[in-house]
Amino acid sequence: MKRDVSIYFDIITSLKTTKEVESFAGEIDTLMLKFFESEEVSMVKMLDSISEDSSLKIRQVFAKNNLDFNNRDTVSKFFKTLRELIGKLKVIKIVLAFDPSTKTIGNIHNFITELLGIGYILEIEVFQEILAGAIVIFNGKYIDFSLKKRIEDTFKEKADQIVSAIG
Amino acid sequence: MFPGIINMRDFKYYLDSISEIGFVEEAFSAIVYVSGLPKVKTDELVMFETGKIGLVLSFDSDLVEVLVFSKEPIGHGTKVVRTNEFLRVPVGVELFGRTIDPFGNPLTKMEAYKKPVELRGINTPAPGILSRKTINRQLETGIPAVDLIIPLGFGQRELIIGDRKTGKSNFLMQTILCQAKQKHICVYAAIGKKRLDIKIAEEFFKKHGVFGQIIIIATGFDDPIGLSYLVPFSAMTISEYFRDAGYDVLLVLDDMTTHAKFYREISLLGKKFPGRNSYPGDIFYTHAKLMERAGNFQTSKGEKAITCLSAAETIQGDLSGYIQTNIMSMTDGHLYFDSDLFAKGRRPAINPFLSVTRVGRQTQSALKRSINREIFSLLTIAEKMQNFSHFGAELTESSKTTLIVSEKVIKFLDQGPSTTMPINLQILLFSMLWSNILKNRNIEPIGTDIEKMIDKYNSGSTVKKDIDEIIEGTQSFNDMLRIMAEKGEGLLTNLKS
Repeated sequence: MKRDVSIYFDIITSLKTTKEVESFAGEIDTLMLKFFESEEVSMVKMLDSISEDSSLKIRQVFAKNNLDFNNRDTVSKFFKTLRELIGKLKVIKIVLAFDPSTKTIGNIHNFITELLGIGYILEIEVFQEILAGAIVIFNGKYIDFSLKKRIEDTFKEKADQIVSAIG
Repeated sequence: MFPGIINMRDFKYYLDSISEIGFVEEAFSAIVYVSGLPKVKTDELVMFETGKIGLVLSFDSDLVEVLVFSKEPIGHGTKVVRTNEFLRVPVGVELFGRTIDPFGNPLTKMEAYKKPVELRGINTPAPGILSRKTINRQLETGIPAVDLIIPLGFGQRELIIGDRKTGKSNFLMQTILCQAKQKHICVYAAIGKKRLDIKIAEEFFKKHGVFGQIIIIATGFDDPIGLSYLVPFSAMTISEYFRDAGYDVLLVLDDMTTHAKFYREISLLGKKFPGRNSYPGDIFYTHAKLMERAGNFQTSKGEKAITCLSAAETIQGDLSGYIQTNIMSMTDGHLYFDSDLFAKGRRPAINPFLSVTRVGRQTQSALKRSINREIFSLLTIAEKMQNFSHFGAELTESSKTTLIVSEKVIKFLDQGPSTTMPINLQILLFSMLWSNILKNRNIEPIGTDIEKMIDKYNSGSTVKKDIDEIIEGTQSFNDMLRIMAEKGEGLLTNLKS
């Protein structure tokens, strides 16, 4: 049973954002649909119809774990479990003032994985008005680490000092 | 600041201070399901990023069920914040002579209205048995058919039931008018009514110069269902405020079958399991917890009452409807408005044989009880004889006399839509009728003669004093008839002068 879940580790950890997950889940749905439509078409051929990156990930898992593409039961079970696991990924929404590069997203995701473990993906929203920093929304909690908030708080707390300094 | 509820801050304030956020996942008209908000509580208010507010009905581990108080649809993905506030309504003397929605916002055009600053929680539990007192004061409706036959008491909960267009609302208006004239506070809750009807009610009270004693809490049929659901709760909260301030309050809920329909709509949208007639299982609880808040109470200002008259509509005279029987079991009786009697021209069309008052008679004096018995026994005998005469049987002289008298009594019990007759005058005129003093006097029950006599009595002249003294000092109907034989003619002349 442990082996069943651990074989998906590489795929799950490679998915970092909600966009990637949506795209990958869509591809799996297409594969499963085709797989159940016809018993004659082989899965290896079907994998050519999805993106190269996703196809490679799946091929690697099958190769690494000695799974047989021709065994319909194994293939069916693999994709069903993978789809279920993807559906259970938890979303951490992060609002940033800039559009992050793939490397930055990777760094943030690694940080979260180190902190909380696997099974988390990022939903990135760009909102320049926060100036810098980030707003983190997770499990209904809202935490504002933005520069805008800091400046507003400073103005609130030290309003008298600021006014007298200007005056 | 949200225009509906005072003292509410903006979305950003709650987001920063409470640090919890939710997102609308599903929306079904007035009900939306929200993810997030981990520490939300039932009955808590939530605010959408558009500034609209909602009320938390329930929640499970994934989603929070929210009742929305706005006509505009709430879109998927809309942000929601908790407010840590519970639904409260503004209460205060500023509400007198106003037509407002359940949040205290003006519903019709009003002059210089400032919303009261004091707020009261809308969902307070009903007072316990220790603070309740026996109902011992009669509530005047100004309608002889009720005051003499099926009397009501201060603090009584009475169901006003009948088919549509049988004069229920008219009766309620008359009762409010009578109570407002006696300087009692009246709260009229119009639930999902036509806007024209709300305006007509307002104009009726204004025309009779009593709107200053009345508060109308209303929603139109096109208002959000969440808002209509709140109307009776808001009206009860306002009534409780004035009770605690030392006033007797008459609360009219018009009507509870409409309210039940709104609650059914909310429950079905909220995927609650439908029970009988698709109403949710907690419809009884919802209405009972409201009705329980009315009664006669011992307050710091003395014995004060919230009398609750709740209307319910029947279909083709069927008294055994689900909501109707529910409310019957919560109230202290019911007045049945009969469509057949209405068609025969009886106004008000109350059927005394199908109406019940469980606590009203205990408020009556010995004289009133004696009159009550007399009228009831006459009407019962007359009803039997009427049925008998339909077979074409020849009636005896005494039977004929009974039928003639009963016809006169029934005619006496008829009343115009805006006439309210003081109870002592009702007793006097009935005694005169019984003593044959009114015979051949051409005094019609509806018309200028009666209006003149009511005006004369109300003008505070010596006639009023004389009548009140006679009635106070009389113990039985027979004594009353004896007095009428001696002084009746003189009193009638004085009343007509």
